[in-house]
Amino acid sequence: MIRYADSEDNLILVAGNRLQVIHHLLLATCHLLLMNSLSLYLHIPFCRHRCAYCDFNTYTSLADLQPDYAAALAAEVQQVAGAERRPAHTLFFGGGTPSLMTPGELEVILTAVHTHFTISETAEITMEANPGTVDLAYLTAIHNLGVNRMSFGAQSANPGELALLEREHDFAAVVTAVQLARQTGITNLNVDLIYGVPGQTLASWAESVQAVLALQPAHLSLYCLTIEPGTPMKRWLENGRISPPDPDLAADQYALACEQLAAHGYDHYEISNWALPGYACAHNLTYWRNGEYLGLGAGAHGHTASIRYEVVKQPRVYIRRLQQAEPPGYPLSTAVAAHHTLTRQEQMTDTLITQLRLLDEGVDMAAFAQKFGQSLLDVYGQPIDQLVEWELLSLADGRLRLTPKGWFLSNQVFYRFL
Amino acid sequence: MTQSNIRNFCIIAHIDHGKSTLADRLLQLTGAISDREMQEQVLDSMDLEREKGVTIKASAVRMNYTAQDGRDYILNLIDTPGHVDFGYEVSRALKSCEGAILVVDATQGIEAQTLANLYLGVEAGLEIIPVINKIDLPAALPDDVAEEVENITGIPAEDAIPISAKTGENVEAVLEAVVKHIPPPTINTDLPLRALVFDSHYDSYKGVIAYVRIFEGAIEKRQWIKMLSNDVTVEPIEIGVFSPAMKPVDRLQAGEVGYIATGLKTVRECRVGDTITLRDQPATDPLPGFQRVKPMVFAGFYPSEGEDYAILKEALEKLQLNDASLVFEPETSSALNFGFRCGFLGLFHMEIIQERLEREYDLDLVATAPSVRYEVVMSGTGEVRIINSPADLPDPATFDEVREPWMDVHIFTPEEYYGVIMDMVIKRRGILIGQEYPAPGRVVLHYELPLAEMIVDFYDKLKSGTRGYASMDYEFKEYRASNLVKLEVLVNKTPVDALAMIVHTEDAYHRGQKLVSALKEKIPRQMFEVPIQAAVGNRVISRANVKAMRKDVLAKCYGGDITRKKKLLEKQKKGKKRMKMIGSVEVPQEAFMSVLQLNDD
Repeated sequence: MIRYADSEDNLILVAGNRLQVIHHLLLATCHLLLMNSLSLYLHIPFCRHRCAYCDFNTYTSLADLQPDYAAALAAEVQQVAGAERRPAHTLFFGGGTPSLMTPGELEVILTAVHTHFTISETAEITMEANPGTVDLAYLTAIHNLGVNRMSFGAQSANPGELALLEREHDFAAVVTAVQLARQTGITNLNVDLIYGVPGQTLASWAESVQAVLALQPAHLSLYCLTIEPGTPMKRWLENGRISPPDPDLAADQYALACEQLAAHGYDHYEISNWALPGYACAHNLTYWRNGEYLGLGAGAHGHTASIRYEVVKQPRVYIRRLQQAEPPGYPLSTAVAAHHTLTRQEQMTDTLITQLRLLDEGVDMAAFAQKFGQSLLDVYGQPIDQLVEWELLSLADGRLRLTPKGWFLSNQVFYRFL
Repeated sequence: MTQSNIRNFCIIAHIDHGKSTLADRLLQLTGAISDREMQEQVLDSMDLEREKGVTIKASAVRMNYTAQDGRDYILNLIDTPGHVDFGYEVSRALKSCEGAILVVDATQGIEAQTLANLYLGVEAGLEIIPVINKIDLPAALPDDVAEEVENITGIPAEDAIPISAKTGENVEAVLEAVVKHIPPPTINTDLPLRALVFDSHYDSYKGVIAYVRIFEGAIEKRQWIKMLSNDVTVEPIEIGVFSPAMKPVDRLQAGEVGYIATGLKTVRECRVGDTITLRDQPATDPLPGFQRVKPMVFAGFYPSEGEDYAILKEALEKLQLNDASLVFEPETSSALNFGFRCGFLGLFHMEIIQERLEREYDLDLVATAPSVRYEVVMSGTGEVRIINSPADLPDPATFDEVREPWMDVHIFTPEEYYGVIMDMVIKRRGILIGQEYPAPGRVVLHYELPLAEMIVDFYDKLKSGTRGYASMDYEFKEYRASNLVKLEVLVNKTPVDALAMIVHTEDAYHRGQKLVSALKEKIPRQMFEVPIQAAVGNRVISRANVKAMRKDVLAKCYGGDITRKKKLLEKQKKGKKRMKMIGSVEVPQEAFMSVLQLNDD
């Protein structure tokens, strides 16, 4: 990650690679220069199969819509941007399975993005992909289109767990995908893993973590499974096919991961995210700094100009809505389903519950006071006192941070700021 | 109009045996209400009653009927509450009649409550007309049931009228029997007014409406009245009859049934059983049998949200306007803060009040486990203290004995459940007093049971243990000294007043253990380990720990969807807000009801 507060020496020491360091210093500088620069999230709502735990906005039988969808997304980009060509420094194709989009479809979208936004030279352009959906030709093509970061959903190295999660790939596919990506020149790679899976043990989790560490990805996201309403897994839980995950085991799994990843030089910069120095996800940092991002595509969410909004979820409706002229005005397109202007109170809450997720950065109290004209302790003195007493929060060098004990109990912290 | 044309009667029936349906048919047949106006079960005007299928408040309807003898009659149907908690109200309603229709389900036979009310009716000297209902059902055994009725009442089986209130079959015969067999009221209009209040309700415009049966004398509109029990005098706003809507009349006289809109502000000034007379020509003696009914069951009612205290107070006051047997006084609990200790006639009465508070006043309540009223005889002075809340039981060193209320309980059941019921009763310290076999295969068991053992789940267990066949009636017998102790619960070393119980010494260990394990399940994990203990005196008899919470985290913020995350956190916060604090431990409100789920037989 780029820790602006850190010294260059520190970065050099850990990164070890001179070129890389220069690259990241450049990125950092860019970010500082482009304080008003945006992040763009682009949602691709297509999957070949819906995984058992998934409740995201994705559809398994609408592949025919992909070309129209790409055109609609390009149209939305144009609508939202207007004539301004605002600067943006990150793009993130999330899904769904963005890697189901053909290079041609992606090109339509990216051309629109480049036409209507000023994309910095060093912009981080991420695409999520399911291992097994990408080959060398595809990865080369998207790299040529500018994609410079891949996020692979590995989820587990254990065949039984992958089967339960209904993932359509094995771990060998993850290994291949990582190799192929590197071969094309995409070296900034993230791998996702899931713990707290019914039937998973501490040992099988340790194996998955080891297997992924062996791939030496620049970035790791470890998510604790949440069994969401409406998913097959929820039904299995209700009819007794699976037993509820043990929260204590999940806590042990998390602790194990923290330990292992630290030993391998990963910086635990966000509750669920680790990166080799300099490789924190710039896009997600925008979310966690409560920064400004545009949400484009069906079901996407955006936050800018004190507005939070969401786009209609159904791809067909989305495509139809974008055939309308006259968007309501920045940042809303004709496909926006709802929007809400944030009150001052909501903005304070959002600041805390996003920024506290950044473990080292935390909440800069001076910045808070400057932004809201009121000190953090004046607004939230009571919950902060209680949470400090419970050792879930700490106050040091002008920042409010979660303590290691608070990392895995963060909801207990967050809800008190609502 | 001649008085001999009046017939005052009520219907005695078990819940679900078709009382309301029959009443509906009678109203339709006599044209008291048109088919178009026909609502299901008009007599049960409260939603709650309709849902529970029982009548909570009595009411009285006047019907005009031209009988087969060609004469016009006035029939007053007095409805009676169908639950054991309202026994006194039933007795007053029966007192106001000369006869009763006994409705028995042709598929079920007589049940305990019906029997109890029937005995009350016979005692009150009522002429009984047995009616066998639901003959349209394939499982109907009208002849067997008629025989059972004969065995119990001595009324020949052939006199029982088989009907189907649902289809209307043979219902006219019931009206004819009422006219023929129920005696007309005796009339004396020369004596000073004596009117029995057999029910009442509060009307925000007309004050307390007293439902009355005039026994002697007459009242004209605008004549001042006097309540004989408390000498309250008032000029009524109007007098009238129910037809079935309130219809003002100029005069009510001996033999008639109607209402007096008193303008009084609370039903406590105009209690059921009291006698109304005229201020200017008063009767000297009240009609016999007036009692001030005493609450038997007590529970703490607390608002979930502290700020709703005022609303709860107002709601209780409003309910009390209509319900003289509901009592309440402010109570403070360290865990639940400010609320009220409320007294009820029984558990069913409590349930109704709780539901009405929640439904009609949109209140979210925490109700503590119900308890009974104890008498504590203090050492030395011999002073008898009344304890309505287990937390108030004094130090055992300071008193000689504790007495608890015992009840006479009558259970009516098919014989095959004899063993099940004996088991249940013995586990609850019950004593078998006697048994009768009123009909082949049926038994009436007479027990004595401490009320405290009955108020939690006895009735539910009786019903489930006998597949719904057994029925029960009970009345207060006496206070008896028992070997009782206070079982206290400590959460994180803090005693929780709202969870204290008074239990028999022999049950203390068992109950303590169950309570601790129930609480362990109900209290969510906190930021620190929480010990839960049950103690008698200073002795801890059971203990369990709620481990410290280790995980409460949300997965990634997908595509920047913070709104959804916040919704989840808001839900969590809302849940927490509903929690009550015991020291620094957050306890869900359901935990305070855990005491209710302790019996496992």
